Amino acid sequence: MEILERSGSKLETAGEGVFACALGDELARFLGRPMVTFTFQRRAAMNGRADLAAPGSWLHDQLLRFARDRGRVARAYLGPRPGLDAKQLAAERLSVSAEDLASLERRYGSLLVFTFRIFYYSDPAAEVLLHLGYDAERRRISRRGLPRLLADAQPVANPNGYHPAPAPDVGAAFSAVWTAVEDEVELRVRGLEEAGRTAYEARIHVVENYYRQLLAEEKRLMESRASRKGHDESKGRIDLLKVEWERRMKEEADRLRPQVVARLCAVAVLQVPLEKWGKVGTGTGAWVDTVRGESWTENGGDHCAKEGNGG
Amino acid sequence: MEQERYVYEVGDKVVHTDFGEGLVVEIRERPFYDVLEVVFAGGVKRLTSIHPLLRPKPMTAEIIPLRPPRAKRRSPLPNGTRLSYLVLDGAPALLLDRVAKGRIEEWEDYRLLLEAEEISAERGFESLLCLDHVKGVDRLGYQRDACYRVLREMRGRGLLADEVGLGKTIEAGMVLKEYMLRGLVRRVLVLVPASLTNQWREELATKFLLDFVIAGRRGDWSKHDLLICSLDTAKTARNHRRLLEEHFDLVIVDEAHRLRNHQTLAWKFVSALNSKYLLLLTATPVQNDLRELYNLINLLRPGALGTYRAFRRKYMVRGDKRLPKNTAELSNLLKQVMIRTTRAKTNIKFPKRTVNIVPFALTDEERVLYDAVTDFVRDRFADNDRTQFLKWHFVSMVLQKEIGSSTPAAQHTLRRARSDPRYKNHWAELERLYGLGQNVTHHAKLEGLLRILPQVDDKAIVFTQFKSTMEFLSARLREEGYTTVVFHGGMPTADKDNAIQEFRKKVRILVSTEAGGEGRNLHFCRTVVNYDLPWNPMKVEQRIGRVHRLGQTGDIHIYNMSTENTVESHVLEILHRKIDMFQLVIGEMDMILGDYAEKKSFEAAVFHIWAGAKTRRELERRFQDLGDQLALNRRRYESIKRLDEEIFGG
Repeated sequence: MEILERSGSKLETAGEGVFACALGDELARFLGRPMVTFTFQRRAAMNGRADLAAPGSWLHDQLLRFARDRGRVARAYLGPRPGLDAKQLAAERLSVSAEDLASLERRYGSLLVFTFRIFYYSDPAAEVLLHLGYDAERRRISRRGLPRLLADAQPVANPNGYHPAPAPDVGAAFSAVWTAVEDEVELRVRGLEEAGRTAYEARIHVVENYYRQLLAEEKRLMESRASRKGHDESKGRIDLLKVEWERRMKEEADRLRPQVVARLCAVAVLQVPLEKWGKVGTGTGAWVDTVRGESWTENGGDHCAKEGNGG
Repeated sequence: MEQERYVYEVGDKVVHTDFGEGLVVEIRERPFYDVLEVVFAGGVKRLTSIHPLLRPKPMTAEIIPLRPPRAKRRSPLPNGTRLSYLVLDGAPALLLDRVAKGRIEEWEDYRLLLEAEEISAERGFESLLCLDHVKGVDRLGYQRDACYRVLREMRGRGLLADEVGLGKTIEAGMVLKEYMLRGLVRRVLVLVPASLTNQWREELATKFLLDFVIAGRRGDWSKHDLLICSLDTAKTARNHRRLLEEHFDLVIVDEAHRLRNHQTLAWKFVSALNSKYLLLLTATPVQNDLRELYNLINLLRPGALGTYRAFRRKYMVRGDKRLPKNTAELSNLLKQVMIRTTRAKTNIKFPKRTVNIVPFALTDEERVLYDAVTDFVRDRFADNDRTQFLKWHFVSMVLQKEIGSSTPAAQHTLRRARSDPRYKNHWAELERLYGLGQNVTHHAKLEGLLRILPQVDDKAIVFTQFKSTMEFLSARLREEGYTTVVFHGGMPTADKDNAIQEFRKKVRILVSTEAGGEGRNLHFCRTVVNYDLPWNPMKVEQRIGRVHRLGQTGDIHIYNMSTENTVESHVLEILHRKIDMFQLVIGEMDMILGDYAEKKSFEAAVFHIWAGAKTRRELERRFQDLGDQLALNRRRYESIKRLDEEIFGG
């Protein structure tokens, strides 16, 4: 329903449990028709009065596909956590009295949230959504509380007068995030491989046995051959079999190993309000992430507030 | 401290500091150590078991990749990965570019996307994504099941051995598309008989929206990811080595019974190809004896049936290579790697075909022209000058086909040739032939067609090989009050689609060249008229295949226009009377043609007989021999079918 509303479609009731919907332009193009009549009741759908829109139905799948095609890159803003005292956090970070500090800068920082869909083609198979954040300020991966941050974010900036964030280095962000994806995948694949080890070993055992037997048969043949030529022929065949054995083992290992496909679904650029506090005239000070309650100085060193973490 | 001694066994993985990873393939015991024979990437080495540079590879290393040192772990981003089994799919670069350029979309859409992604999560091959990405493919249950079995149970290596006409190509196409959609397959090689390369390319393009390239030239192999090639071309010395250096994600071999003999170059070539997944397609996995089946399975899963000696002992009746024993056990083993659907199992009813031969005699003027063209063609064929012979070979064959199609078709070529400098030596003869063509005012075959059409109460496709005939027919039929639409290879795709739509909705007759036989589904029509008859039976089969296919509910009517004393009448005699071709299931013709299916050799054989025979008696005898050969092939094919039914069950 939400997808229909977002696409500018107009919904009307067309009988008990049946809806008629004049589709918005984009959705109409996508579905190849100007309107749909649908129902969530199988009986009504079976009468041919309407398309079924229940999970698993054609219409349901198409609407999901439509939704997955849009909004792949978006930006939203977070507001400072209520009650969080940025000045106090900065003071703690700098080990000075709060009275000595003044506000040096207020601006947004970028937290890029990459969403991957990861398919594990193995036995058992799995498919997961993985959200990984990249804190462009501190150039590091951030996993903590991402779903909560995404839920709290709003499409408009808060009115507290934070300056815009500098443009993030997207390439560096993806590079770091991808390494994290690889680590995650590697870890999970180990688990999957353990689970599928029995089947794998059985197949490898078959290949090994086969080549052992072939070699044994060929050796017996070689021993029974009187002529040098026949002997050499067998020897050549044995060498070939050995090479082939190696190749087949690699091929089977490659084929039976879980295959993993990662697809980047979306990127959200979250704007996090940051405050910099320091001694007036020095220019140096501590940054405070006013959402997650984290503080750090520009010359390194992080600190997380003891009281909550915003997610 | 003394290092712990490791007792190696054959099959152990080892790591050598200099040679890398290896496999122990032989051990000779000595009093204090063993001598190991180890296969490394660089070749076979003989080492002692106490060699200081040799160590056993950790057991887990087989399936768990060793973690490279942290410093070297940087990935070649954004397109590559450091894990061999991980693929970064889609086009992340485009998305990242949009982020960098600030081209953002609505936040609400993003939220909906996340919800939709959550809901859409599946587990492995639970549903077939390809079904939403194919065109004109009947979604048949047994084809879907075959697809699931290959993907889930066979892990991409299987023998598709459905009976002829059940759509093995579609099943293979679905598996291919599914793998591609999921990002698991990128490089594909399809090996087919030469006669089927175009058909495969067309089907993969129109039904699966995949642009394959017919490869054969040196640069093709690494330049394109999706390749179709005839098995004969691929295994030539020139291409063989090059292809073995390539790595393919999936190799599909159509008519895989050609790999039944493990001593042939073809079998050895496919066996040596580097491919993760392999699909073999054949309706007749066993043609002579069970060893052939063994050889096919061994390509897919070496060792699955043991060594041949063990297989023979366990599963073959002594003294009869065609008879299996321990059939229940063998059947269970085969199920792991082979799918065979029979028509009886599918409950699909194939419509009947009625074949009508429409005989007629040429008018006097047409006969004079036909005989004169034939004499001209035979004179060129008999030319002792090799250069002249080669120059005229193709032209004279086309001319002979054209005159068999219609006078306007032949006139089209004669008009151009009589002033073409390349044929200057024969301008006078060509001019004379053209003049004879001008005398033709009545077209006996057209009149025959006009007699047939009133008997057809529905739509009809009139097939011809030549555009000139197509235009002539279309114009004359319209004059007679029929609604017609034409279809030929030179039309843009949109016009082709429009033509088919028009034919489906309002037009009574589609006049089409061979191109009409490619890929498009015309099963709403039940009548095919072969206005002329291609000398290549595969083309005839393709024509019929457009209407006689899965999904066709009515009976099919085929009308063959047969002119007395022409090449076509001889071809029709062989195809209709000798092998009853028009009753064959689509796909069977290739099996019967055997070697004739390759490289248009049946067509060439027909032309050689027609143009080369010195006397009428010789002509009759040679066509008789050709027919007998095909009849023999058909009988042989029938016995192979029976054998397969016996082995695998009807």
